Amino acid sequence: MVHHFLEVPDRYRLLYAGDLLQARAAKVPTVGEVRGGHAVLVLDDKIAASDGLDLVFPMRTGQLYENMLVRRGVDYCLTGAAEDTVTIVTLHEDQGYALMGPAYQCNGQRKTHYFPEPRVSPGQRCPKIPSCGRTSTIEPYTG
Amino acid sequence: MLTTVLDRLTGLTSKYFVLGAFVPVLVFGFLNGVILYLEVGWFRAWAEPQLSVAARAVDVVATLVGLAVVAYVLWGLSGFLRQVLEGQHLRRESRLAGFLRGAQLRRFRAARHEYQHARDAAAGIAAAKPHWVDQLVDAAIKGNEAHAGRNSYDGQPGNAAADALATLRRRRERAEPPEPLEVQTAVAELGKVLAENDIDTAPAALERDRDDLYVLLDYAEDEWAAREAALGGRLQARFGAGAVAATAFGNVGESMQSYTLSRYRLNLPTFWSRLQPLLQKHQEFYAGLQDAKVQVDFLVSCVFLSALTTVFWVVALPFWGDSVWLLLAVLVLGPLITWGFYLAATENYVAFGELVRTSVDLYRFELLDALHLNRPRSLRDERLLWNAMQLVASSGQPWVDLGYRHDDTAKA
Repeated sequence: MVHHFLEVPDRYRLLYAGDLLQARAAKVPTVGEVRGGHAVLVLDDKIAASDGLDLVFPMRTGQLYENMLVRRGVDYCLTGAAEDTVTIVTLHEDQGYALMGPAYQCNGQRKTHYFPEPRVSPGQRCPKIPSCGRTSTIEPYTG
Repeated sequence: MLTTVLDRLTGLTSKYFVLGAFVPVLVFGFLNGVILYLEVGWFRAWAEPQLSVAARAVDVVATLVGLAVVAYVLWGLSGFLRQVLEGQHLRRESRLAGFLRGAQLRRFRAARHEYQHARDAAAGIAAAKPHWVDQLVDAAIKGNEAHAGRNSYDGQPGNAAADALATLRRRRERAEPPEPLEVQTAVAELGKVLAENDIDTAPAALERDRDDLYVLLDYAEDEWAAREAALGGRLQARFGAGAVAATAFGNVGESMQSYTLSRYRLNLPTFWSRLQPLLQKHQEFYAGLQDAKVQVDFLVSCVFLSALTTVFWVVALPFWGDSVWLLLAVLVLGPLITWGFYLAATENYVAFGELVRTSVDLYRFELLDALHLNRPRSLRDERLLWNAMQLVASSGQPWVDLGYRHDDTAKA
């Protein structure tokens, strides 16, 4: 599943694949116009040094990351980027699962909703009913 | 000079002795020397020449050797000292034992209550979440059908649903799990709003808050599950399954035994010494285990040395000393430092206990191989086997019979 980091001056916004698919279905012309997403703090050496954060192995300083994210009021921070891969640290474990888990969609007749957020499982009723219809259910994302 | 002595000691004994006993004795010997120097004239007269460049080497060496002997005695007593901290030498019926056990019982009950609350909340939220989602979907359909084109929800404070959601968001901002009742209230209140408004009609506040509530439900479910695991681990690492011991340190010791007993029916005090030689084959693991043990021994030594230092000087300074400030400093700092060492020793004992549990989990079958016994096929068989082994090892029960294996098939 591909997620996207939307870069605006001095800060990033994380868009889940579901947000992007939703925007594509709604024919949003540019990524910059996609609604939603989550604020992402870009960690620099200064913040890392002042908070004692390990940028290479974040799990070694997990508690310090948690304190820093809570203090700064964000759920995500970007610790490194190389070509098309980034390393991000999430405040809560479920946010990590959402980034790594599979994508789903609903089979609504009026509209299609895309997930991983909120968490859904195949076969359940689409939690975003009624905008997609009244009987739509969740199925794996088929592209 | 000191480096040479330390090198010699390291060569003659293990580094574990040097770190676990000699260094604490050296540090506390120095600390006591400072107090003696400040307050006792004859000691000052002896010590001042030692501070000069032309120090009397014989005196210094004699002092260091004396400290090494004290350290060796302390090293020999380390097991006993650990037992003292575990409260094993307290008379069970004594008032002090009762008082200490009462405090530990309160700690245990609080930890167990916290764990049980987390467990119930995790189970309750996980079970209720699909129904809550259905409830919200049904309410949205009802509102869409009955009030098509009408939506008066603006999500502003003062609205019961918005306030209930704000409570959940605050919890998330503080990295706290929301209480199940708070989640239930938010679902109920937003359900009412959904049933009275058309979510497909602007403004978008209703859709935004509903979507956020779904995410908050996921958050609540995950946070409680994580909390249950963390508190369960803490309870397991710090308390045994049976009656509580008189001290926190003792309860950590109990936790090791109750883990192996409850999981495998393996009585740790009986089999630990038999397992240790086999652990030595796994050099990296064994080195880690030894390091953890020496950290515990170091801190246990520090607890007793700081306590003895405090008691000695509190008694001696009123007679020998001239400074009230030094007496006050010992009275205040001594117990604080001793308590600090005790807390650190307990924390390190927890870490050591984790390694002990790990070593039993990973290497207990090697002990069966070394004893030429068949490896059990299942956990139930294993429990029966360790139980039988315990009967043989502890009381030599004549009616217990176990088949031996003397070839490689023992490992099959």
